[in-house]
Amino acid sequence: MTSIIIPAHNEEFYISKCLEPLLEYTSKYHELQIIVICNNCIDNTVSIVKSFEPIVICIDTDIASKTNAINEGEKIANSYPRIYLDADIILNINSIEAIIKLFSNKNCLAGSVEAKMDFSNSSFFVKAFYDIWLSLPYCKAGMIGSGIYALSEKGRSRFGEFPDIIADDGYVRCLFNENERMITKGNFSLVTAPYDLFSLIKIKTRSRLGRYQLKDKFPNLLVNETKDYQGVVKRHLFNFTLWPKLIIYLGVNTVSRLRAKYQYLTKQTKWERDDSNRSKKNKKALFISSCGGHWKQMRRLEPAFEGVIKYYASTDSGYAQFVPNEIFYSLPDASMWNKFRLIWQAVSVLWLLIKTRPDVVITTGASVGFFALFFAKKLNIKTIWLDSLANAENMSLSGIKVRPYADLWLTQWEHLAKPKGPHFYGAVL
Amino acid sequence: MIFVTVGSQLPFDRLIKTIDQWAETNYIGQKIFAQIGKSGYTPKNIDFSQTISPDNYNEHFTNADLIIAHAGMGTIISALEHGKLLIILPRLACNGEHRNDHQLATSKHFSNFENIYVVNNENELLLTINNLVNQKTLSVKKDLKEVSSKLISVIKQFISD
Repeated sequence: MTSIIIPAHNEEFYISKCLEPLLEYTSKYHELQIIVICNNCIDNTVSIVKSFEPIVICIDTDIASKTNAINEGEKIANSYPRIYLDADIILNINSIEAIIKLFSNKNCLAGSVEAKMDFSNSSFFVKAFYDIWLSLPYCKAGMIGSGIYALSEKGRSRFGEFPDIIADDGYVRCLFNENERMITKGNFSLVTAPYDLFSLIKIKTRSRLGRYQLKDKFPNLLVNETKDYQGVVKRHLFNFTLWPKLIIYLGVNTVSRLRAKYQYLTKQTKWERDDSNRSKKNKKALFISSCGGHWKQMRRLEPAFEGVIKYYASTDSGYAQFVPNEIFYSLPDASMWNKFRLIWQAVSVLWLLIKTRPDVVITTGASVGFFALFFAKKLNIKTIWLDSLANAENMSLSGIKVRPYADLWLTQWEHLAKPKGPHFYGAVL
Repeated sequence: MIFVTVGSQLPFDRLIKTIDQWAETNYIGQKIFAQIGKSGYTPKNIDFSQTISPDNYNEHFTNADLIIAHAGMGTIISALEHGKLLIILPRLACNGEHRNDHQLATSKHFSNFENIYVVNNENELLLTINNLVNQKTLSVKKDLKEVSSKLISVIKQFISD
């Protein structure tokens, strides 16, 4: 027998089309154990799947995670080869047979089916993108993008539970070298291509995000992976008729790469927070302020940062010498009157945050401090604002404006403290 | 030595002019060095530069017996750290010396420190300089309070959460 595990999240549109060929196959040929794990579905997926019982086993879970759904399915899966199938993929009897047959070769540990894209509902741009993408050797090597892969018992024993990641297919693919992975020839899985450019970008963003996450969690795994983008561009460069498509391809890649990078950075800290006990990695703090009094006050808070890696940034490059043993970044100076300098400063601060990726940002103020907390909050980094002692009768202007972005919002004057903040816990002198 | 500083952000001609004029008539062998910023006024009787490097700033602070400055937090903390006598003349918004009058507030709150003399106008500044330089000894004990331990522990807790 063969077990098929199908995680499904709000797939009422596709799930019947996905299940029907499987049912046909199991009735005519070889018996399949079909398990659908509906995870966090708010549409009709569950009732549709239940209508196929008892041939199909339906599991319903509230946890919105594909890999968790797969793990749930594996608890009752009892046979090999084991097929992992996306709920929006349509197979036919021949392709099911073909993927199972791959495993009659004992050297085959992981198998997949070639993908065929259904462009009947797709725009010109989407088709243009896939014309280039499908010519990638990476794509031709299988398992990625076809929505289906299968493992032999020996292949499955190579890892434990599926880890909590986006790219389960990428993860599995990386576990096997080219000799252990096989792909059916002449049989296809039907993948519905996205409708418009934006849906395509969304899909590509998620796929790239999956790769970033994979690289982050399993840095050693990617040795089985090669991706030759330059080769593709070079190959198509002298074919002028392909240029419009190439531009679309590169454009979609650039945009999705940027989106993925942004999402990766914003979610990164969440992952770190989730398993903060996993590694005893030192936390990183960014000390950032304008020069002069703000800097001096900020540095007096250092005793609170024992065992924390400290980065410093200020608006005077000469300040590097005050922190000879730490990493120092110089930022452009700006005042409220020069809007262009302010924008340049804001961009520099954002770039600094992306580059250093601290766990916490602390500032005593002025515009660099404001920008730092503004962006840090959006990047899911903890933020501390300690208003300067200089502001003895009113909070500073940036101190007031920064309120929504400061997790810890402090004044150094008791008489300025209010129940809802700013809070007062003492001063630096 | 007397070290005069107006900070890195803005000039403070009223302060520099007063010191320069004082030096002309009262020069008593005291060396005076002034960091004057992008000033529209060029001193005639004292050494000066527009800006100084952080290194130089520290050196002047260490060698000085008396600091005369605007009411900037950097200067105030440095004076407390180095244990120096400090005269502060707050910048006034009405003279275009700063965006607002927060230096008045700062001065008021630091005026109860033993080593800090707050002066509100040029005359008070001249009087206070004369008083202080006529004293035999200008050295004072360090007056820097510790950072609030409550503040440190709150931040520590916040980071580790």
